[in-house]
Formats: sequence, C-alpha cells, structure tokens
Amino acid sequence: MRLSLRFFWLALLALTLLGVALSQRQPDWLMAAVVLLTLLKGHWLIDRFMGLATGPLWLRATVSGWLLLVLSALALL
Amino acid sequence: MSAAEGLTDLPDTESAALPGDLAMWCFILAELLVFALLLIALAYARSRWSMEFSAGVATLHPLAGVSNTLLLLTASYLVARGLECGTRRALVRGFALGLLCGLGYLLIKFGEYAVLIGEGYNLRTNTFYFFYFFTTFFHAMHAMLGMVILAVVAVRTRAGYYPDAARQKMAGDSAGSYWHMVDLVWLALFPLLYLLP
Repeated sequence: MRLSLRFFWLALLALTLLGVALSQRQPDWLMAAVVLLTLLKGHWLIDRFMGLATGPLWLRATVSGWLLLVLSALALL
Repeated sequence: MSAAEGLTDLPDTESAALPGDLAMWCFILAELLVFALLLIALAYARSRWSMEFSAGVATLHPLAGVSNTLLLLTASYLVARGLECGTRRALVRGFALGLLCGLGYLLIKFGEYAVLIGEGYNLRTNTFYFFYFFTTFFHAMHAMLGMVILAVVAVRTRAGYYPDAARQKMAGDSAGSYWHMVDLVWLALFPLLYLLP
C-alpha cells in the first residue's frame, strides 16, 4: 500500500514532538532515541518528499549516506 | 490546444528518473558536502566543549527550534504535494504556501537572533555561540535561496513560461529538491542545537 504524503507529513510532525518530549525528560538513552528519530525522519523526507524512493539508486544511496554519516558523527564523537 | 492548456495534466513518471535537473543535483550534493563538514565540526565541538554546549543549549528557546522544524516540514510537505498533484494550479499553490512557511521560519530565526544578541550573546561569546550563529545563519541563507528558487518557478509556472509539461516538471522538481535539501539539513541541525544537552 502506498501511503499518502499527508500521512508522512503528520508522522514527521509527531516524531518531532516525540523527540522534544524525550529531550525534556532527558533519559539515559536520549542520544540513541534522537539519532534514530532523526534517521527515520530524514529517510522519509528523502524517499517521499524528495521522491528518491523511485529515483536513481546512486542518488538515493548518496543522500541517505550523507544523513548516516552526519548522524554517526553526532553519535560517535 | 494552447500550450497553457497542455500543461494542466502532467505525466505520472514512476521510473527511476532523476527528480529534477542534473545540474541542480550537482549543486545540492556540493551543498550537502559543505554542510556535512560543518555538522561534523559541530558534533566534534559539542564533545570537546561539552560544558559550554550544555550551558549554551539551555539559553536557547526550545519552542523556537520546534516551531521552525514544524514549519520547514510543513513547507516541504506543501511543496511535495504541489508537485505530486501535477497541475499548474497545485504547483503554484503548494509553492506559495511553502514560501509562507519559509517566511515564518525566517521570522522566528531572526527573532531568536534579536533576543540572543539583546542578551549579549554573539559569535565571539564562546564556541557554542560561534557554531550556533554561524551554522544557523548559513542554513538560513540557504533557506532564503530556496525561497527565491521556489518563487521564481511558481511565478514562471503561473505565467505559462515553460513551453511544455516536461520542462515545467523539471523546473518544479529541481526547485522542490533544493527546498527539501534545506529541510534535511535542518533535521540534522535541530537535535544538535536544541534537543541534546
């Protein structure tokens, strides 16, 4: 089933608010949660809004790789 | 049939075609490379000067960061929906509403700068504020460029500037892709500056 753009938009807003709520409570696993939430949000943005889910594989891999690189730096440094 | 009438229904292309112009994608990838260096430097500085960063993050207003994230995501949605609908009217409407969200983002961002500068913080205060002002202003400049690109494509589309549906789609996809890149960078920047202590 192909989910609508509106579904992803609302999910992106919900994940953003979830990240903010978690940051207010500051659990030990906040970093992992924030990185995973950002990875998921970025993945949806790349695939659905940018349209790279149906675009060339090399471009999708490059942009997704960029996101992974930046978030890895955030998590590991 | 006039050229304008021929543009109302755009072809639905689900192939592995590039969404937009190759030159625009080269530009986007170059921008992403620059932002990657900046974000990695920011992540390094955050670990190196953790006390300064913790104190700095506490001085930012989380509501401003959240509002800006929601506005940019909404702008991206409106732009993507305008492109997905495939009609000239939907594209112009989607881009115009996306521009309004972009304007809201800029107003909040510059309001935030005014408050912080009024409180005595600036680029030279410490490492956190250097990175905060530099990266967010650099990002805001890109958001402004994205808004100019969206505006130009929307105005040209409305005026029937593009000779055929394929060129209109190419221009719309290129503008949309640039805007989504601005949003993607913010998604990575937002937790670094607002969420993580």
